[in-house]
Amino acid sequence: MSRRDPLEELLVYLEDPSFQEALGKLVDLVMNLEKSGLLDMLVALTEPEVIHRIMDLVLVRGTLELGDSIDFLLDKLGDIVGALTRDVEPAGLSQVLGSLKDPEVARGLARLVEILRVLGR
Amino acid sequence: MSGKVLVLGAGTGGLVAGNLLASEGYDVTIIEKSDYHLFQPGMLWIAFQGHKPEKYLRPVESLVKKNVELVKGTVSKIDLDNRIVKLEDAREYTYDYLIIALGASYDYDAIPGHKQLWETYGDYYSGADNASKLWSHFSKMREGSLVIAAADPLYKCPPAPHKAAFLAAQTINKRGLRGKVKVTLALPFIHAYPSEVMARIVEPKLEEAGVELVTMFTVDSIDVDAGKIYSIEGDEISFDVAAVIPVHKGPRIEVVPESVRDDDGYFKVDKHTLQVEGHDDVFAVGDCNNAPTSKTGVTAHLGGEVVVERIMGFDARFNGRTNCPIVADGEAAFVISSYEHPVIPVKFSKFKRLLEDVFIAAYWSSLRDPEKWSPVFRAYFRATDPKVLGERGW
Repeated sequence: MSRRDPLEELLVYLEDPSFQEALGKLVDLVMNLEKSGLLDMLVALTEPEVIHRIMDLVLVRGTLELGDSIDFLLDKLGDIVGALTRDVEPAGLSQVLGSLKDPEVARGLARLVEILRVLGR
Repeated sequence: MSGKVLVLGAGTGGLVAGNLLASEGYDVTIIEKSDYHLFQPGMLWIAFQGHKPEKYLRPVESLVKKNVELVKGTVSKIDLDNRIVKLEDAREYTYDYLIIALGASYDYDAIPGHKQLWETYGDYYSGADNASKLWSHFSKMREGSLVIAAADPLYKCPPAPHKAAFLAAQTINKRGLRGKVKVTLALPFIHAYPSEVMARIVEPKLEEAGVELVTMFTVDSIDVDAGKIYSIEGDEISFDVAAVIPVHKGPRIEVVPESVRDDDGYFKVDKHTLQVEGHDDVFAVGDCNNAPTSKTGVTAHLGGEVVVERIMGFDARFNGRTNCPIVADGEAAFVISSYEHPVIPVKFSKFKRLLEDVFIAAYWSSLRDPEKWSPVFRAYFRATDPKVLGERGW
């Protein structure tokens, strides 16, 4: 493998009009961040000590498990939105009790109980 | 900090240890025979998905800190009694601390027919060129049998053949060749993975991908002309294209005293301190030592960190932690274990594949500036400690 001189490589990029356009946008972005004060904040956030603290906070078992289940949770959330937007008849206590015969409803109730148990710990 | 540290090898362990010590002010020299560092898992993508090798190669000089002296040369002899390292061209180096990170070597002569197979089809272990050679054969297949096998149960990156099978199957399925090109994964274990816990997770995925699994298949000989691989157990598999993981050995160099190496040439180390037996000033990290854990980039990286802390005077201890990724179609799982904890159940998920992609993206930077990544990795490894995850897994 031969390696091109980094300056030569840069010159090739600089002559490319699409690179020039992208560079212009990048400069605009940096200027906007500077004017709004966000650039100072981003610089501070990338200090190793701050990264350390963020990672200690974020990289824990809970977030890793949440990340692992994100597609499942989004699917469920979609189903819940579907259920919330469907037309349903008002139900009385006897109808609610009757719907417990439906295994899906019974399983959902069992899950709610499980959630309550976790919240109570 | 002061002290002259000599690092042999600019693989993962050598670069992490050398660059960390340099950032602490040590006088570090790294000796490396190659101009380029290869991200070794990249060979799987080159061989089975046709990626460009350039993506996985970086000049070694771009991966060492400015205050590290990088010497291009091949180590021929390590004299621990006199603290001298000799290169093939007769140059000599002395040290206060020596870190041996020379990796493993491959023996293609150990199994009859293996060398011919390797020269014919290449493989995904011995370099980017050979991975490209394997792709050139595999990518031309329109029918027939691709066999992925291992010559010996001890090899680098235990999930590598599984990843090979998954990536190959993905390519075949994308090309609409499922049923025409068969992928067979032949392993010298009683199930799909050395750990039964992971085997139970991997096996259904292999089936889903259309990979045929053959267990208890320890390669005994290969007849390239007849297209057959024979096993010690008395079975045979036919192939049109095959890649067999070579028998691994310790580095091919002269060492004085030879007693610091085991029968296979690996450096005998204390599994926690990684100090070479009988030599407090010498450490062996990564694939070249006999620590009872997997030979992977993660163990080399974590081992390198431990060695640095020990040289700095802290009582750091390596716990044998593994985090080997198994990449399937759009998903990944990790093989997580340590000396104290056997492999825990870790299921495949899209999130883990994303994490693996992030790890790969951070690879080059984590070698050159490991001190910047240490907090991130520390938090990750703490959160995924097998003790924390336990039997429930992840």
